[in-house]
Formats: sequence, structure tokens, C-alpha cells
Amino acid sequence: MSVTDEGMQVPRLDFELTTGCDHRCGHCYNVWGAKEGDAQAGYDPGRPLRTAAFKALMTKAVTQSGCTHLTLTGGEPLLRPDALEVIGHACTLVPAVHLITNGSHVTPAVAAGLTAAGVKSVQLTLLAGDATLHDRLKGAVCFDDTCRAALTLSEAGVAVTICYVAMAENAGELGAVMELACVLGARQISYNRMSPTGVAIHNIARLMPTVEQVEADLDTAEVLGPRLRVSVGTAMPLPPCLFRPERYAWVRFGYCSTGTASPNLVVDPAGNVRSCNLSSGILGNLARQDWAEIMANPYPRDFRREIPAMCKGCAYERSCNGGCKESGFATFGDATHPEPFLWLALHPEARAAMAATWPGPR
Amino acid sequence: MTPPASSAKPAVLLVSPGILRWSDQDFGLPHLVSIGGYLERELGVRVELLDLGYEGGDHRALAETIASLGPFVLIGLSAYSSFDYPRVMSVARFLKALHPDVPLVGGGYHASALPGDVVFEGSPFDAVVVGEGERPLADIVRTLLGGERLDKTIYGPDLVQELDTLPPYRWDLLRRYWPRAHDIGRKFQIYLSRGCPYHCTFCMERSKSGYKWRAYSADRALDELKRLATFTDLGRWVVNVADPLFGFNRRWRREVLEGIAREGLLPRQYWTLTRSDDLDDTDVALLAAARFSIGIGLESGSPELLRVMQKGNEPGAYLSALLRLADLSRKHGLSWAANVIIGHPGETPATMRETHAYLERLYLSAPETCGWLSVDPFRLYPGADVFERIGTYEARFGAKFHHPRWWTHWYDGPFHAQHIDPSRELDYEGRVRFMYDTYAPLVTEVQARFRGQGRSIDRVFARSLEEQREQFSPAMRDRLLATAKRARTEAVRRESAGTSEPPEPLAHRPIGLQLRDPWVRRREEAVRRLLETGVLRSERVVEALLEVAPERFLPAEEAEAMLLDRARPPAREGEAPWAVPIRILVTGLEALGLGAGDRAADLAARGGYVAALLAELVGAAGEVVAVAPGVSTRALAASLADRANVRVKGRAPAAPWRLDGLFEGTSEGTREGTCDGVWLGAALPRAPRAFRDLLVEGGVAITALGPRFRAQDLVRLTRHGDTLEEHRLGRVDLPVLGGFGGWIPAPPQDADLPALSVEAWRGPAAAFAVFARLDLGRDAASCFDPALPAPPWAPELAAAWHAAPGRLALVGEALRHVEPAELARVLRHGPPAPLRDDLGRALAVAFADALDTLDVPVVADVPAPAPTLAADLTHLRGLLWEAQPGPPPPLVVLDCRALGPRGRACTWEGRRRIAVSLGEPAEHVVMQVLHEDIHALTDPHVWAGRDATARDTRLDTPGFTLHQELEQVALAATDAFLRAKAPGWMPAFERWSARLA
Repeated sequence: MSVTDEGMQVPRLDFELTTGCDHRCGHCYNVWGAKEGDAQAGYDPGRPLRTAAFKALMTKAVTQSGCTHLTLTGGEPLLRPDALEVIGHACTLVPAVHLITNGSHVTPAVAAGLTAAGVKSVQLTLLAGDATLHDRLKGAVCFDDTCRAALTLSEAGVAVTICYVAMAENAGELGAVMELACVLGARQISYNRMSPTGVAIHNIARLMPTVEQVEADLDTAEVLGPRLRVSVGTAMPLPPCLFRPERYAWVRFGYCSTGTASPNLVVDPAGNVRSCNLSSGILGNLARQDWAEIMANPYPRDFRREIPAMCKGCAYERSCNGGCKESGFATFGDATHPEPFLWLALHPEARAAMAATWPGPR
Repeated sequence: MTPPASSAKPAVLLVSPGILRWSDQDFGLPHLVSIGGYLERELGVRVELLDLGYEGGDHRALAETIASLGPFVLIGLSAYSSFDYPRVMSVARFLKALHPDVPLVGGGYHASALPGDVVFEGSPFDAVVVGEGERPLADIVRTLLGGERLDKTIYGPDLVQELDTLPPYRWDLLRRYWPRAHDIGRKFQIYLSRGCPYHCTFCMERSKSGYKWRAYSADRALDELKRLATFTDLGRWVVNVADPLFGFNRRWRREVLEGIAREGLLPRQYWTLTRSDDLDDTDVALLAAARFSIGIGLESGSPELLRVMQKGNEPGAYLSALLRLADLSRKHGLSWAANVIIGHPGETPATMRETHAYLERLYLSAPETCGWLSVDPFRLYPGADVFERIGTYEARFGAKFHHPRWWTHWYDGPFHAQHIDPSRELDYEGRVRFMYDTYAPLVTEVQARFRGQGRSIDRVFARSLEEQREQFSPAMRDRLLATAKRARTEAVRRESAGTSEPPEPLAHRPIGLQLRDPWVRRREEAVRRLLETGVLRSERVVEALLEVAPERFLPAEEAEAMLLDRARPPAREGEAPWAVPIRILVTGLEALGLGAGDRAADLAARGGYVAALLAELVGAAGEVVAVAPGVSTRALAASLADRANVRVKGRAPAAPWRLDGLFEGTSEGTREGTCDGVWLGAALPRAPRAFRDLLVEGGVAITALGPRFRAQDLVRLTRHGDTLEEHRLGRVDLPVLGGFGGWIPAPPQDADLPALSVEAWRGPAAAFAVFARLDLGRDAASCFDPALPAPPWAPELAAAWHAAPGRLALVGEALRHVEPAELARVLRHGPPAPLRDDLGRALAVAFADALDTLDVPVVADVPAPAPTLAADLTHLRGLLWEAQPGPPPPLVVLDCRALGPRGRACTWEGRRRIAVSLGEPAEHVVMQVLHEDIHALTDPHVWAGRDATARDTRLDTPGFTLHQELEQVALAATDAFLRAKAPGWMPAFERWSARLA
């Protein structure tokens, strides 16, 4: 089957190569981390496909979806023994392959392998300008690994992007991270305010940044970005009802793409397709179904249509679409509940209650 | 006014700026009366006196008054107090602009201390008099009559050595004010001596009248009092003998006091300042017999600090003398007060404790005291020794003067004057805390032990004691500490930025002319605050703010909050707010930069206040369009009816902003920019492209852009070709606008609301159940039902009702709250504006208490109106309002059984709320509702959307008469309406009328 129907085409796909990871981030959004009783509990990715089957799955996905950009992620994708082979295969399928890794396994050999395969860019995560805070938030001793990985990749000619997750406990660190990224040769920051799904919903009270903290980061990005020539883009939505995007000419703002013509669909190690990394709803399994059948699932369309009541009629209803509704579902069990970042902005007093009782009865 | 008969003589005008604290105002102006008499006698000129505090009226009235009294060869303006300096300069600039060819001369304490503050390059003053005014001012007039000019010259000092050479006080120069003298002040001011030989470091007296004590002879002093008694009944006044130091000479003192007693020159009370060192048993007896009460400048109980203050060489004897006076005063019944200064440079915690211990001994060593205590912070006065030797005090004590030129601040002069760290051991905050925490109990105890004279004057003493006690409230302390914190933060910011205090802002219009009008006072305070902080910078905006009365356009609560720089969100998200905090408004108006002849628009003109300001800014040659936030323009058009250059336009919220064709010479449908300035006082998500089409090239729009739930950017958008260039003016937090270009869809408009609904709200029902138990006598607001049992609170509540001038606002408030508990909460914590005086609050709280205690059998949960009620009312209202633009305002009928046959109504959020008893016959209910609805068309207050007026409704009051007249008008209108439009209802109307009659 080849792509003929425009409605089935997607420009990009994410592949989760493995659910395993050797870091223990409190903000981790992987849905398989959800605990019993959580709204996302019970996500079962099933048995990971073996190398040949997974490669075939990738081929099928690209062929049927028409995508030209693959992002390979996890878990930690480099923990998969055949990671370089799978990555190499991806590079034969599409012109742009992007890797998201925690950096702890990027040896010079791996970097050389990525270069040889033709990986366009690698995303590493830096949460602070110093090792102590970074390692504490990552739940692993990895700051030096990450820095070394960035240098190794840069030397190998692979573009490096730094992911920064804004949390209450690393508030004010963005400037130091941007400067460090610049030194390490990275020219791009992916700025993500914490958007809790998976295990992260249990850490909202402790980790969710305030609006003021995020706004201070945006101010920092606006000043430092041009000076360091480091571009900044936001992946997790920052609702315009809380920020004025026009104040930040340097920052590219991104919003939820589920249900749009350019969705961020994800395929897990067993071939299950979800509407995004944060979603626990399975649209279908590409190992057993064709792309067209999966794309016929109404979930993304319905998901886009259902927004919090307070957002209906808002000037940004179409673009913002209620912020990160998956985190609203993961946290409150209801995708039409204002998502936790917005909820805490409007009800700061709820943070204490969340710390004391979360997760509460639903 | 007809010029005086002697108008052929050259004339001199002497102007007193008045004082801002009108409650302390004295009548008399003896300094100007003396100068005026001297000029008339010496030069044969005619002298006119004006006190701007007495005048009333606005700047236009002042200009007319001066024109009617002139022409003048000279205008003298007193810069009496440093606190009034910016205001005096604004008056001076106004006078100079009014009469540029008439020389303007300044004088007074501030002018004597700092003549360079009065005459300088660019100053409106042509000369300044240092010291006493009689002789230097006579020299100036002679110079002018000789044809010479003044050229920023300093005259004086030239003190009058023999006061008897002065002419008698010419009290007739106050002829403009004598008819209302007792309304102006409760004290009459006169001088019987000048100068003070002491060298107290904090006092500015020396800069004006020097160190030599000079007095009228005792006989002349008594003659002056006798002459005064021919002008006014002394017995009605407290006479303030405002000498710097009364009776320094013992023989003179005794002769005057004996003469007063002998001649019976006895007012209600004399008040004066003196020292206790020289007062023995005879003096105290004489003072008491002459009905004197005296203020003693004790200043400190610390011998060490008294030496620093140069209060005398023997502090021990000085302190003992006052203890002796305290004893003697009990013997003779002399009332006295000790003035204490806390925080003089050199003050330490130890000296403060010493003073406090001394005062406890002074006041509390006996069961009662004839003295009261007046405690003030040290204030830095120009002309005082401390001021002139600031460096010495800084070096010696480590004192720090945070605002050495405090009088250039437009606002909060009392704070800036006292914001001083007295010593290395004591900072300002420490002084404030000690003063308030330690003296509050002492002042309260003194109040409890004070023994009066058993005369009516005791009320004056009691008031002074109470005022002193109120000054020591924790709220006052915290306010000062918060102000000091802000001032220090600002100083640090300036220091790090390398900037100095902002320059003195200018105003070219006099401020402070209508001090007795609380609205004008609030407006002027806001203007002064904004001038001081530099937000208000241009003369046109100052003038517009002073000219336009917000309370004419906005509900009282909204106007008050706006002037206090507070935000009040609208009832529903997406509605245009009535007003924005004044700091935001002024920032925007300054950035608009409108000039005479410009075209401007307010795109969300709720109330019309901003449109009226814009109309002032563009002047008669300019044009303003006020766009109503809704299709109905009735209320807005009524508010702006007297503005010839304002046009009102309605706009459906979902419709785009269009102004084409609304200004003279423009045509509809062209979409070409026509507007020089656009104001939209609410927040939008982003700059609307429509703004570009409204503006001419270079035109400016002011609005807020940004988040719905957090602070936005107040922006100036300037049209350049097809683009709007954005300049951020600051962060603001404004309500978001709904509708076209707004954040959310428009909230329901009047037309979207149900045209008629019948409700059973417990709040109004309970409120009128309370009213039904109140015997208010012949009061138009009464709905007393004598058949109901009288609860114990009824008499007290009825008395509170009669006592509170703003009582009628209670009725309007009762119609606004669904639940009685909510009504009670609002009455206790945020009563409507007319009830915010002491009496109003007492009424509101008493009413809330009654609501709590009354177990009101309200109404059935579901009212059961007659089946035809809605149809009848809808039909009649349709006929009634058909001649008006737009549909009838939505109507909410509230079932309040306690009202019996009566009705009550208000307009709230665009809806008529009419309370009636649905237990009455159906035709009666229809007629009652119709009648209340007709009030909305015939009563100008209701028409303008201001139901909560403070009208008096008691029998035999003008308010009652007005109420009756309006009632007759409404009845006549109902009659005429039914005859013309619904004659079938006439029998019902006649039965209804007969029943109510």
C-alpha cells in the first residue's frame, strides 16, 4: 500500500525504540510509568519487536504514512542492543532522522556510527548549569556524560539540540544551560515546561513551575538567545492566556498538534500507535493493521474537539486548543479539565492540596 | 460683582493659598489683613484679599472673581507653608498666565526661608518678600507706582520694630467672607505679638520674624480685641492668638490677661502657644480667668535632647516648670497641652524612653489631668537651624535626611518631611515603631484622665484628644512603615541607576480650590500623586483631569476606586470595565499625546468618563466619538449630552470597530483612517488590524495587549503606513474584552437576557421584611407595617436610618443580592459609597445585624405570579419603550411580600429590578411594576443609571419634596401613557391610584 489519501499523510513520526531507561527523572512523561490508580495506568506496550520485524515496521510506516522525518526516542533508545542498526535503517528510509537520548551511552564509536548513518541531529537533556542539581533531577549521575556526549557529537559533526525541562526546582537555570549549550556546540534549545503524564503526575506539587518562573525563562531566552545565537523553541504548549507570545520574538512557540494535519504520532516498540508521546490511548497497531485503518481512529479528531469549557470561544482556541490536554487527562482523568499548569496558575492554592493528597480519588 | 466704589484707586490683591487640611482651617488671615491695612494707610491704594481655601468654585470662578475685583497693580501670593509649595507655584503660574502684565510677589514662611525657591529664572514670581510683609511690600508698590519694574528681586527683611505703629487690623478686608465666617473655620486667628527670642533648632519662625519679641502695647492689644468684638461675636469663636510665643514679657502678659477679664473680652476660649518657665500661680490664675488654654512646646523629656534642641540652658528647671504648671492647672482649671517632638536629630532609643517616662510622670501622677498630649514626629522645616546645618547634624549624630527638599513633592509631604533617621542608634522605622507602640497607650490614658472645664468647649478638647488617639492606630503605623519601605527601595533603585530624585513636576492650574467637596478633594489628591510620581506630565492632561468629574459619569464606587488607583473588574468577564485605575488611564492619555483640534475615540465608552476627558484634550475644535459597548446608547448619550464635541455610537459586540463617517467631513464606508487617537481601556489578545484602519498616518491607539489571566502590556500603537508600531508603556492588569477582536465571545448583552423574569430572591425579601418592622415616620422610603411585632433592634435601627445622610442607598443595595447573608456581608464590609461615612456605616452594620437576627418568613420558593402577568407586562412595556432606541431593558420582578402594595426599583447591570409583592392582586402588581418602570424614563437619576443617590426622603426635607415631585411626574406620565396607548388599563390604574392614595 502506498500513500494516496492526503488525510493519511503525516510529515513526521516518532519511534520509541525501547521502554527501558537508566535515568530516573521525576518529570518523565513516559506513559508506561503511570502507577496503579492513575488515569494512564495499565498501558502495556507488549513485547518489543525484534530487529527485523521492527525495521520492517519502520519501512511500512514510512511507506504508508509518507513521512519524511523520523524521531527515534525511548525510554533510552541506545539501550536497545540493535540501536545503531535500527537507526541506520531509519536513515535509509527518510532524509531526516533525529535521535533523542539521555547521553549516557554516546561513546565516540556511537557518535561515529550516528555520523556514518546520517543522523541529522541528536537531542540531549540539560536541566541545570551544574552537576549537582542536574543529576538530582535526573536521578542519575549523568551531567558529565551529557556534556561529554555533546562535545563528542559536535566533534563528529552531528548537530546537537539541548532539551531543557523547566521545573520549580531548576527555576532560573535556563541562562546557565544556554551558556553551557553554547560552549558545548549546541545551537538549539528545546524549551519544555514540565507537562506531567506518566509518573510525573505524582511530582506536580514539587516540580511544576509557576507561570512567573516560566516567564522569567522566556525573558532570559529573549535576552541570551540573540547574544549566544542559540535558537529557542517551545515544544510543550505555553497557553497565551498566561503569556504574551509577542513579547518574545526570539522564541518559537509550539502548540499541541494532535488532530491537526501535522500530528506528532508515536509508534512504540511493539508497533502500537499513539497520538503523541504523552498519550496513553492506542490508535492501533501498525504491526497488525494498515496505516489507513489506524488513521481512521476518531480519537485525535475528538480529542481536538473537546476542550475545557473556559477555553471555548477563546481567541486562541484553534491554536492553543487548551494547552496540553493529555496532561489534563493524566492528572485529573479528564482531558477537558484545565491542564495542571494552567490549573495551578489560576489556583495556586491547589498546589498544597496536590502535595498532600495526590493522586486523590477520581 | 460690581467693583467697589473706590475702584479708581490703584489696587493690590493679596492672595492666601489656603491650606489643604480644611478641617483645621482658621478664619482671620491676620498677616494679610495687617499688610493690607498698612498698604492702604501708607499708599492710599485699595486692597482686596482672597483666600483660595475660603473661595469655593473652580479656577474659572477664581479668574472671574479676580477680574471683577481688579485691575491690580500687584498681586501678592503667600507661600505660607512649605507643605503648600507646589500648590502655590501652580497658583502662581495660573495667575501669571491670567494676568501676565501684573507683577506677582511671593511671601510667607517658605519664601522667607528659601527666597530662591520663589524667584528664579522662569518663575512666575517677579519678586519675593523675606520676613514680615508690611514695609517691603509697601516699597514694592511704591516702586511700581513710580513706573519701575520688578526683576526677580528679593525685598526685606525689614521688620516692624514697634507694632503700635501699624494701623489697626482692617477686618473689613475680609468682607467677602464674613457672612460665612463660621462655616469656614471654628477658630479665629489674630496676632498680638511677633518674634521669639529662643533658638529652638527645629523651628522656622526665625526666618520670618526674627529673634526679637515685639508686641502691641497691652492697651493696643486689648483695643484690637475690642475692635474684633465689633466685627463678630467673640463668644462664638475659639480665638487663636497665633503668636510665636505669647506673653514672653511677664508684665505685658499680666496686663493683657487682666484686661481681657476686666473688659469681658471673653470668647468661647483663647488658644495660644507659650512657655511654662515663667508661669507662676498668678499667671495660671489669670490665664484661667481669661479663658485661655495654652500649648507648651515641651518637645522632649530628655535633658540631653533638650540641650541639642537648644530649648534652654537649664533643662532640669525647664522640665520642673511644666510639672509645676500641671499642678497649678488642676488648682485653677487651666487647660493646657504639651507638644512633644519625637525623632529630632540626635534622638536615640534612650532619649525616647526618657521622654516617655517624664510624660508618664507629667500626666499620670495624679488621678486626673488638665493637660493633653500632642505628639508629632520631627519634621524638617526650611528656615530651621536643623535645615540650615544638615551637614552638622549628619556628622554629629549620624542622622540621615532622606528627602532634604521634600516640599517639592506633590504628594505625601508630611511623610517626606519626617522621613529621617535621627541618629546612628535610631532609624526612621525604629522611631515610628516606638512612637506608635509606646505612645498609643499613654495617649489613651491621658484621654481617660482629662478633666475639662465643664463648658461646651470640652467638646473641642474631646475632639482633639480623640484625633490624637486615632493618629496612633496600628494602621497608621503600618502605613508609614510601608511608605518608608517603598521610599528606601526607590532610593536604592535610583542610586544603582545613578539618578537623582525626579524633578519638580509642573502644573499650571491651581489645585485645592474646593476643599470641602470630597469628590474634588479625591480628584486633586489623585492628580497630586500622579504629578509627584511623574506619571502626569502634561498640562493638558492635568487640566482635563481637574475639569472632568468622574462621579458624573461613573457609579460612585467605580469613580472612587478609579481615583484611588484601584481596579474593579466588571460583573461578567468580557464586559468593558466602567473605568481603569487612574495611573493606567493617565499613562495612556499622556501617551496618546492629543492636542487641540484632534479627533479621538473611546472604543469601549462605558459611562463616558474617558470620552469626556478626550473631549477636554481635543478642545472645542476637536471631535470625539464614544462607542458604547452594546447597541444601546441611551445611558451613554445621557451622560455626554452636554459635550458638544462628542458623538455617541452604539456597536454590537461582534461587530468590528468602524468610525468612518462619524467625524465631520468624513464619509461612511470609505474605511480610511480618520482618528488621531484611540483609547480602549480593556485587554485584547493581540493588536487588532482594525486599529490600523481607524487611525490616520501617525495616529496612536492605546490599549492593553496580552494574557487573559495575567498582567498585560499597556501599549501605544502608532500607525505607520500599513503597520502598527508597538511601544510598551508598562504592565497592567485590565479586564479582558469580549466580542470582536477580544479574548472571548461577548458576554450576554441586554438583548440576550430574558426580557422578563420573576424571581424569589431571599435577599430583597428579607431586607424589606426588616424595613416593614421599622417605623420611619413620614418617610418616602417607609414600608412600615404596624401589625408586625416590633423587634428590639427596631428603634435603634430607625434612629440610625434617620441619622445617615446616604440612607437611601440601602434600598438600592437591598435589590442586588440574592441571599440575605450576602447582603449582610456587603453592608458590613463594603457598603455602597453613600454609606461610607461614619453614620452610613453605622446604619449598614445595624441593618446587617437585623438581617441576621430576623427570622423572616420570606416567600414561597417558587413564586406563583398570575398566569397573565408576564404577558401583560411584556405588552405594556413594549408600548412604553417603543419610542426609545433599542428594546426595553430586561426586567427582573422580585417577589417581596413585605412591601405590601408598594414597589421598589433600581437599575443594575442594565436590568431593571422591581420589587413588588406578588401576593397583591394581579392588576395591582402590573400597575405597580409599570409605575416603577416609568420612573426609569421620568426620573433623571434613574435615567442616568444612578439610582443609589443620597437623596433625603424624610418628611419636610428638600429630598422628600423632590421625591414627591418625581412621584407626581411618574403618576402623570403613567396616566398619559395609558390613556394614549392602553386605555383598557385605565380602570385598573385608577383603582391602583386610589388604593395608594
